[in-house]
Amino acid sequence: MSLLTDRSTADVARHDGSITVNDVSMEFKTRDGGTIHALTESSLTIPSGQFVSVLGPSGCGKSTLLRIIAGLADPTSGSVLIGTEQVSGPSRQVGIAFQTPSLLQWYTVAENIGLPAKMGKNSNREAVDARVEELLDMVKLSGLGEKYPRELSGGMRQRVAIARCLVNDPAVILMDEPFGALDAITREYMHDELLSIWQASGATVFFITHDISEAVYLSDRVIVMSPRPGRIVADMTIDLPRPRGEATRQTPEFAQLAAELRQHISH
Amino acid sequence: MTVLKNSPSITLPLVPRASARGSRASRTVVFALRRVAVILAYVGVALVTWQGLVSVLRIDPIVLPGPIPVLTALWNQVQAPVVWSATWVTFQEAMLGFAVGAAAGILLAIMLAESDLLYRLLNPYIVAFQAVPKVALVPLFMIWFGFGIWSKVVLIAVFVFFPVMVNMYSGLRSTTDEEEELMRVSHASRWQRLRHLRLYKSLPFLFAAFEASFVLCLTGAVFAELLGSGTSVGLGTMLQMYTSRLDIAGLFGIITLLSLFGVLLDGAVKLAARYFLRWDRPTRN
Repeated sequence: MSLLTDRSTADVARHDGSITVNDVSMEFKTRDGGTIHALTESSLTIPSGQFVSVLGPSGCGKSTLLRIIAGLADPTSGSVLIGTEQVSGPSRQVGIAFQTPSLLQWYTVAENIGLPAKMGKNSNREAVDARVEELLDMVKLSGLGEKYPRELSGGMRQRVAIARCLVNDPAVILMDEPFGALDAITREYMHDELLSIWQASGATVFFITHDISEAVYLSDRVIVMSPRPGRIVADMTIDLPRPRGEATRQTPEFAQLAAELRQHISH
Repeated sequence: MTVLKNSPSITLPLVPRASARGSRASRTVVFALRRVAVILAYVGVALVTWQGLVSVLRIDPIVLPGPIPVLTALWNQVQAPVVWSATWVTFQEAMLGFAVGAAAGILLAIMLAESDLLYRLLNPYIVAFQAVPKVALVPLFMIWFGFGIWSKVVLIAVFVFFPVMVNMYSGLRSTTDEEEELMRVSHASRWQRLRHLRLYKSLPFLFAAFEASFVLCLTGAVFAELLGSGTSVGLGTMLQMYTSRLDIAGLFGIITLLSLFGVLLDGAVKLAARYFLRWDRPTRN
């Protein structure tokens, strides 16, 4: 479905959402002349459609890596490809959800979700509205399109933010601890929501978290990163069967994978 | 069933609370009447105190007339067409001045917020001009713009310009990093970012400036008229007329009219603020 008339023919077809990180590093200069190695030469290849979680303590470079893939920050060295295109700035192929929903208080839920699609040059208004309806259904917020963000709970706002990052039907979804601010019950509900959204969209997901069991439950693969300097220290495949549910969390395999990951993190 | 040691052995009937009686409509009427009664009480006390002061201290009517002469003068003024045309003149000056000053302030704020270079170039000059006591510019404006309405409009515009510009600029720049990033990842053009994000962020700041400067417009108009009205007769001109005739009761009448005028303007801005800022309320969590 073509939402925007200014999309090129390459965009219209579902793009190859594979992510290739080539020797990316990021250094920041501090005020007193020192250097922070947020990320040292890191490489990673994520095939299209894979759900990858990135685990690690604060300061390990995971958010920096996400921002580089998003095109929000330029790496000090190295490059990132999404599909075959090199990342040089934010792309419509990439949807991003942060920990804070950052919804615009003056727009309704529907207007917030549709906002990214309405930017750029001419957009097809009806197509956007239809897409917004579709997304409201997907995140189980149908009928709440005319509400304002202040009328919603934290979990609902985060769902709106997730719907928003999906409006352009991106090939890649980047999420930086999107459920971090939610209570445990809502979080578990959102896990299953996210998995069904992911399965419906076929997008590649790059999901940052510091919660080991969240990482194991959701992903096909978990990358562990370590700080000072930021680098990838482990890359583990999660071969638990799908669809996953409450039962999955109880299996011994689950606990074993979680334990293995915990090992990697403490080193 | 376990009975607690100190519980009453008889159950008392529940007395319905006063608010449960009567319909909602009648309660609203009662509340409105109560408020009017309170206002009347305040006014009444003020009038009585006033008359008391004037009688007991035997104040010269030239210094402070009693409430009766003032109210009589006010009553006459309200019926005189000249007072209404003077009110209209002052109103025009204030509103035009506000419109021009606010428009200029908003436009410049947008330009400075969008271009950091422009900001660094122009801001020192703006700060310097802000320091000039604007009232000192009145004679200059008279020379430039004549003695009619326009010299007053320019003065008021200058009064309004600075608070509006400074506040609008702050408001435009009050966006959070996340909000700016949202615009970036959505590929918003500069204009779209302004329209969807920055303008709304600036509204609370803008209305704060409006509330501060709206009534100031009236002050500016009256002041400029006092310094030289020339062809147009406004309320400030009338103040001068009454002074020259030593008609102090009339003077107080005009002052009362100006005060009422100010209250109305203030109310209008507050109403507008409530409408435009209706989305800016504290959130649930």
